[in-house]
Amino acid sequence: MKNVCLYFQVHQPRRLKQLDIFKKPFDLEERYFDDEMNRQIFEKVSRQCYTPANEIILKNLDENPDFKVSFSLTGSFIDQAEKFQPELLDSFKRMADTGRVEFLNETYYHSLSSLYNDKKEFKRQVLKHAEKIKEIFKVKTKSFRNTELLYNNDIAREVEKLGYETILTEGKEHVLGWRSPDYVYKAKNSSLKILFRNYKLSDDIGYRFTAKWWSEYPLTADKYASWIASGAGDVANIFIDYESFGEHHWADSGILEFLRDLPKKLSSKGVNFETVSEASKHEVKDEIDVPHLLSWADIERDASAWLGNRMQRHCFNELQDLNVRDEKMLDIYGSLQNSDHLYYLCTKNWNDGDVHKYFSPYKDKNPYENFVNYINILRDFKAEVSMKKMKENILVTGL
Amino acid sequence: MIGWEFPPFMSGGLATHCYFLTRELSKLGVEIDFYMPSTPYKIQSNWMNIIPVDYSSFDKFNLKVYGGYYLRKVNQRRIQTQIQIQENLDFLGKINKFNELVSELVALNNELRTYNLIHGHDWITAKGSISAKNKTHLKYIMTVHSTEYDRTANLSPWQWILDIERQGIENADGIIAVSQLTKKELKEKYKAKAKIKVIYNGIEEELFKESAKKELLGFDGKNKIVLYNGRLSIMKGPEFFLRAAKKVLEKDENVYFIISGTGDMLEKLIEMTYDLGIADHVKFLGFTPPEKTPFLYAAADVYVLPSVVEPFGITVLEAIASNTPVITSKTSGVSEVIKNCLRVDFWDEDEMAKQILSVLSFPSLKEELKENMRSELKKLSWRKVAEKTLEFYKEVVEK
Repeated sequence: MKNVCLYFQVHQPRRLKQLDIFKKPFDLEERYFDDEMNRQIFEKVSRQCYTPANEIILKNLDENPDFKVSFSLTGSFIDQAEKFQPELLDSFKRMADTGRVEFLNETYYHSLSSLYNDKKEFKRQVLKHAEKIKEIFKVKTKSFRNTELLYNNDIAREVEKLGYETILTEGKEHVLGWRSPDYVYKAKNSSLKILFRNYKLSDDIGYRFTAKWWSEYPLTADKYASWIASGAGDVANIFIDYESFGEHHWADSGILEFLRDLPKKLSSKGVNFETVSEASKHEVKDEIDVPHLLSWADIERDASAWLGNRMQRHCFNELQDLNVRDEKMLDIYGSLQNSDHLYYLCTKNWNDGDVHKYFSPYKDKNPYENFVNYINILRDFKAEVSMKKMKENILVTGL
Repeated sequence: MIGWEFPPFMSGGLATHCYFLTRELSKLGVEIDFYMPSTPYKIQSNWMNIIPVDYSSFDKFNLKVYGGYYLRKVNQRRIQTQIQIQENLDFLGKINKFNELVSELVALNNELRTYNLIHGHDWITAKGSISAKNKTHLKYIMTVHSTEYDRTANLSPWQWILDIERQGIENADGIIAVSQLTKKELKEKYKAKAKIKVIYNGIEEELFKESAKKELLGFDGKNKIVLYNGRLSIMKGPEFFLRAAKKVLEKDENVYFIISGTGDMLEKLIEMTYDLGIADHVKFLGFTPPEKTPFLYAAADVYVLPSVVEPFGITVLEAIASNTPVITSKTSGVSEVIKNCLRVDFWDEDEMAKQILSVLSFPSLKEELKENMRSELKKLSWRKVAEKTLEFYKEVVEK
């Protein structure tokens, strides 16, 4: 392959407090969110991943004029960075200043709002995110990545309506069939372009980098670059969680050296870097029909990680039925929609359950206990919302 | 095998354990002579010899060791004899006497039966097991169902019991613990050196197939019922259950609390329901015989095990077999093995109330628990318990 498109996802959920329904703090943010835990986790991940990885990326941008990369930073991440570590945002800004780093749009709160019956909340969050990215990085994009790469024909239609030209999703065989993920496609009955994640090559870094059972272990930058160079398609889409570099795979695995060496190895083998928007300019090969939900999560690559059981669907319905108008309340509503909160309720199967447990910050809590907390917070918030509405109505109509 | 009780003579889980363990072991081809104190009940079994131990047990050997008592001549091959309480002894005295007699009997019968192993349950059979071991040179396995620290909630363990317990643990060639919790305690508090194998208790699912009839307990079908079933002693934490009940009733008046069981805290607990002002919502049933407990579980909407200390907690399995969701204290052995339940710190009445209210209010939680918990019992059949026990027998004997 002549081209590679690297995109890294950066997200931190706003984790919840264990709500004591009998002793509630007056302030809602204090009542629902464990910002002390959020700060600790943020600082830890930043120390292990964001800070060193950003330095490596910046150095590569500096040394290699061909190097390009795309990021998507959720609003929940940006909010926490502003609060806990503003200098980290500065290093992302320096990347933006090179003009060779694209920042994608997504839902501000890394939510499942694209699946709500009413798309109003989805639009609000996408718009809010686009504004935030423009405000911080002074850039606009026509490329969209939905939460967890969730995708189907309906989502494509909504995203196109919002003015985007490209969307990312998972390159799973049951959708692509014989077609390779290494070309550009378009959505059914739409001109929205789709970049499919090459999950084999992506997971080589994201999952298998530290897998001792893997026949290719240990993975070197040189070997990996040669795999990409030998590909037959237009562009290899390598989409991974940024936390893979130093957090999911610890520094002692050599993952940061891998990140450091990869760009020059790729360049030396004649591979050209493209941002997401550039990659989507290749010729469109086909139209892809995706009636069912697709995502990059778990083995199933569908929405079952968030909506697989009754508790999850219950909370999801509570969320989409909330009708929030107040600005301050809207931000809380948004944070409560982090898809992570639903992910922690997953009971799917014990293998995947282990992964979910690994990602859960509530280490000693099982999905049922997490549900008890989450649903009580949602119910409490719902009561606060309707109380506020009632007060406002009295102010408007009262004498 | 040396035990202390056997159905229908029983005070707790030990009798149930011995009943099903021996039944399944015998199916696996293990021949068992079961020694226990003689009782006023006629205790019988189709799968093993039950040998009630008192002075008359020696008739057939025509021993004069315990001279002064009437010794009857009986058939040499008949082991079981009539019951005679010959002497007024205190608890300790009775235990010592039982253990003395049992060791003599085991040694004598061994000449006829050529045993392979001595298996004693708890401290109460330890002295006899040790002394029989010394006489016969057989290996001794001790099952620890609970320790003296457990039984007294770490408050005031009896030194003489601790001493016996320690002797048993020191002299055993192998120890079976009913949970990791117990194993840890044996290692830390008793410095156990013998190999400890954790074998969780089992459950006979077929016994718990009643359908819900709240009317049997004098309730309306619409009333929500929360069940406690266990001894009313400090180690079982019934007062925390009542404190949580008070909190639940603050939020939902249609909830009723059933306390099944009796014990030294009964009076105090009754007074407490008046002090808390919840007497109308708490029903004390007294001791419920085992054949009636399936009705209780079936009528309950949720079962709570609030134990301060609980080496295992077999009632949790009974509730699950009855299709009743479970809340269990984190300090219970059963919470190591049952995943599909809610767990709570026994002292955290607010959290316990929140969990009770959530199970009662949200069908999504209740149904999800029900759907997933049943399959967990498959790994906890008595057959599996017996298989693991037999495996351990072989390991210890061949060592």
